[in-house]
Amino acid sequence: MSIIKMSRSTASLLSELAVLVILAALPLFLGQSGYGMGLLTLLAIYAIALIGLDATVGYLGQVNLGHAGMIAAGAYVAGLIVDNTTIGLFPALFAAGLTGLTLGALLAFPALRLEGPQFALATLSFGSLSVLCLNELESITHGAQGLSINRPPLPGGIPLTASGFYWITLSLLGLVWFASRQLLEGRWGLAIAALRNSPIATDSLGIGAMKHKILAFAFGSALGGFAGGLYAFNLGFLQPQAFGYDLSVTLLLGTVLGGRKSVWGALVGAVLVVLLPNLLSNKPVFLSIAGFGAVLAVVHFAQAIRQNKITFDNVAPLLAMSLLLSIGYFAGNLEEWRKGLFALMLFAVVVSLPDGLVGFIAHQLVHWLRLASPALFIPTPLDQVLPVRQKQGMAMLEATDIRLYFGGVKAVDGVTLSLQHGEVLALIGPNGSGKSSLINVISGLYRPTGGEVSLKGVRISGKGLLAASRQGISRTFQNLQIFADLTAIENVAIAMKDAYRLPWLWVAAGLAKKEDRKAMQDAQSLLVVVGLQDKSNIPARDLTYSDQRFMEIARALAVKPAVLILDEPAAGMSKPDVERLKVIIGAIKERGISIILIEHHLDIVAELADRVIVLDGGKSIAAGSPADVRRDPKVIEAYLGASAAHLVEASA
Amino acid sequence: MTIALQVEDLKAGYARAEVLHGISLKVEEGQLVTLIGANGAGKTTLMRAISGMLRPTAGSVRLANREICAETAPRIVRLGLAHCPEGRRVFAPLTVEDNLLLGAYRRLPSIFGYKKKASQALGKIYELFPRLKERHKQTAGTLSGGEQQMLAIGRALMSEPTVLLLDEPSMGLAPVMVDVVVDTIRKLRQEGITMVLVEQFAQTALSIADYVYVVERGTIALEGKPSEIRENRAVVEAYLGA
Amino acid sequence: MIIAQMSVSGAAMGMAYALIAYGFQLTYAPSRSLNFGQAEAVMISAFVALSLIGTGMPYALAMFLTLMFGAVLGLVVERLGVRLALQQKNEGWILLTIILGLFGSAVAENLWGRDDRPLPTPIPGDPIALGAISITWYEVTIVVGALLLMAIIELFRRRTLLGRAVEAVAADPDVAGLMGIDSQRVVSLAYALSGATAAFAGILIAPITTVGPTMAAGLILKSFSVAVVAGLESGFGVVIAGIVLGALESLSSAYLGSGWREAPGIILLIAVLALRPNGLFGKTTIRKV
Repeated sequence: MSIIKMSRSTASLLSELAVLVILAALPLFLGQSGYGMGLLTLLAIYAIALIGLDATVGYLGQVNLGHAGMIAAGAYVAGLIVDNTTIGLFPALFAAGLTGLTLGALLAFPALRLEGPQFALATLSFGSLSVLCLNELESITHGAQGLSINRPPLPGGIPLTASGFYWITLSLLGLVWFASRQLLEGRWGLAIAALRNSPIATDSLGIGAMKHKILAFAFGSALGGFAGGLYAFNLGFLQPQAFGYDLSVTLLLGTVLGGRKSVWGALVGAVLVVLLPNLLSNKPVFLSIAGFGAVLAVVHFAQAIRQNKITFDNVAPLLAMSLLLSIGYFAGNLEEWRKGLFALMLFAVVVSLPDGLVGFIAHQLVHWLRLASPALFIPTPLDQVLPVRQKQGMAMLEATDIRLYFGGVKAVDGVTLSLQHGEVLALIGPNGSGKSSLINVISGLYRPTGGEVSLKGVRISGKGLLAASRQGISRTFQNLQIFADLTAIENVAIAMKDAYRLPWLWVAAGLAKKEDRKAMQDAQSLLVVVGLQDKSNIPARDLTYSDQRFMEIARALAVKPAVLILDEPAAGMSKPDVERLKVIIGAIKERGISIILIEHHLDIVAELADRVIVLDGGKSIAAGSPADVRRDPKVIEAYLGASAAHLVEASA
Repeated sequence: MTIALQVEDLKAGYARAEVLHGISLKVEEGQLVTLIGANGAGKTTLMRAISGMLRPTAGSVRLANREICAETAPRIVRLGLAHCPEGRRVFAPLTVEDNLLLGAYRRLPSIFGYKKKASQALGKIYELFPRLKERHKQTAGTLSGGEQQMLAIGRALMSEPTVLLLDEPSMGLAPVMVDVVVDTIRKLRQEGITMVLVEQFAQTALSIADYVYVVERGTIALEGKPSEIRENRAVVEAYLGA
Repeated sequence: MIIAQMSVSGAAMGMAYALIAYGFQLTYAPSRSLNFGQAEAVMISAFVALSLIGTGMPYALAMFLTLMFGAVLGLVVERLGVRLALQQKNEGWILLTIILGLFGSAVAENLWGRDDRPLPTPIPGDPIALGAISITWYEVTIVVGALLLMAIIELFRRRTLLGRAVEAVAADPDVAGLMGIDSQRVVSLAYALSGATAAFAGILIAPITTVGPTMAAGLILKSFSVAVVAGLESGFGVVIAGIVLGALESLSSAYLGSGWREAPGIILLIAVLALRPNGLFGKTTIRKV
């Protein structure tokens, strides 16, 4: 029973407009007092800053403790420009954003190689360094004494009132809101999520995720700088210590509290961060909010008791909320406890609502209102997505005398193979015989100790995964490397070769929708090939194991490969799924794509392979048709151990 | 004969993928049971599910009539089941001797006097693998593959288990080393240690086992004495798809 | 001569950084996590020591109880802030330990007030002259105390089976479980030890910094710096890194101005993270595919 027939995206667009209109109308009702206007403007500024912070914290999934440093840099640049030149408001704001962008890009190169605590520490030290510099460069910044800034008039000398500045800030928030949705919820967001799930797969698919990572961090930092500029003009007075660790932590926690990977989360986070200190001065209001939180925690806990699943994540929020309520009740002056109360609320949210307040509410709304999930895309005809490759004279792939040594271990020891157009070549051999090492060399993951791999006459060995992928080699993985957080169709679309060509400014301006749609339709077409067309909107993590394998094949096809490497595709599959796999491999072969198949089940090999190469101890010990190879005594020995040949004779 | 280990209708897997679809097997005291089957059939997953490295989703595992299915790995070792994992996985930064001592962690005092108490067990392992004695001060990461395998087996034996699981001890070893490992397993069997062995070389597995299970796609496809299995074409099919 | 004097007193403070950094390493090895609220742990422990001494109990007993308190605090942090995130294999522990630190500092401010107070100590305040260089007894206690505690813990790590078990969990937690080692308990133990080192650091530096809500705020970034420069997984590199950083700090504050005191630590941290994320003394690890 659908109460409102509306898609999720329409619903969110309408509610966004509504919120902006309400925010814009507030000054008309609340009066235009200096304090109130300042607070509302600050709210909009924090929302911009938090949208920027969300790029690292939400999308890159890294804890960023240096955002206050970006804001400080933007604020001082804007302030100093206005104080020392006659440049107006907007150019100064632009310069502030540019400062953040530059610093972000500079910091991104070292920082983005780091993960987890190291990233947090790198950003933390950036934050401290900026406060330190602002304090010490007294001749420019006036150090700890502070810098006064006069808010410049509008172009044409029109004086800017408090409410005027609020409306300007709000419109800028609207713009930022729109642009970051386009950027972060579209292809960038997908690419970055893909990178988080599997860096190896993103490289082997040629997605080039590092570029997206740096851009996202720089974009977030630019918004930080931009928010800093606005902050300078809102407050009119800057002091370095205002931008210390405390502000970074407050912003970070605002993002987490509101909800990651969401512009709504940024807005809610900003409201909480700005209003909480004011809220604490009114005890009854605070107590009723805390009480509401406590009731939620009790309900949560009661449900857990009923299901007999009492765990840390439903006990801890209850304790935190009770503590919140009792401090709220007993403490004389709540403002003294500001940090502690904030910490308790955050603790409860982080432990029990990993998606933050907005994530939780959005989930509930979708559930209650039964908002329709997006419709399936209409597939592009397969011939347009994956045209049949025409036969060429020469061999597709040639690997000559490949050797790969790890110290003294010879994983691959002089293997030569060639692959013809549209041929299926099977690699078999016992565990540790060098199959995986060999295809890791061919797909560019490992640089061979010796030998050369060339594709259509072009040398590709030793140039890395990304280069091999661009030349037309694509692969699946024995241990699945799916993008678990993306849906099936997004997994395929994000790998689609040449699909995303428009520059980021176009994307930010919302002019890339057509390209996005085309990529999705192409992806749907490849999902048809593997029989997943009806499951395209299911998150990859929720697909069955076999379907995840099929999705990986579709994703590998999105690279439009000349050579497709399938690494044990049937491992862990049930019999019917193996039958389905055989049909799919046959269909791929018909498109003129050459296939290297690693497989342990010889029945599959027998049915599908044109040729078989048997590896043992890093060397090729036999080659030929499946039937020949199966009778080869050396092969039998390799698989069954010495003197087992009679087994085969008995059964033959 | 008493039953040392009994697995009934065991199901287990990772995230969304069920790998074991209900496996049952039985190991009598003093027996050497081998598991054979193609890669990805679920042999290693079965070992992990028995020893508690992986929590089974359904079924039962009984160690000497005691249900251990819901227990954690450390508890299961304490109850007398040792697991020598696939790929050896010795503690590379620690010395050979420390590796061995940690094998006996559950029955040694943890602060003082543990070396003295372990000396007898340690002596037995060094007797079994003189190479390890020569290298007892070396860090385990510097050993060769074969020596690491000896260390891994020795470490598992240090807990004085009633049942020992050995997962592909011959994987990636030179033929000479494979022989050494197989000889060791024979010796342990003569000493009466109950063992479950996963082995990729079927011929080797058949030659030393008392009883064999053939695992295919997460179920037991076939079981029997080695002589019975030898006669059965299905084994050859499982391996060569004939 | 001034350079020597500055270096020596800087190096003494550097030992305090090294001790806290050592506490980071203790938990990082077995759990790949550390307490981002360690500054608050140092500060609260110092306040506890202050209150205990205030009751009139013997100094040594107060110190011992403070160490115990630090260990318990470490256990609380592990239980509330780290365990869930490690079970879910995510990095929520960074946020949660920051949040716990925030709460801790609010509690301290409200229980003990915002003023800086001296910690009574039996250690004499007068300096000792060593040739032209003079050191205070406070500095001597920091150096000796930090080295002593690190040596005791290091002996425990190397000479007891439990200590070896901690290393085993650091190397391979799954297989450690197969040895009968409860990884969870080992991680708790590491947090308790780390909490005790934080408490001890609080006691050692309090005579110099005085006890107040922000006494350790500046300290902690430098301790992070020392831990990262030495390598979060390497042992005694922290001592060298701590001494060098401490000395550099005094020198830069003497020659560039006191405001630049913090600069070497920050710059060193950024440089090492950018160039050698595993630290100067850490081993580079090969990632398996």
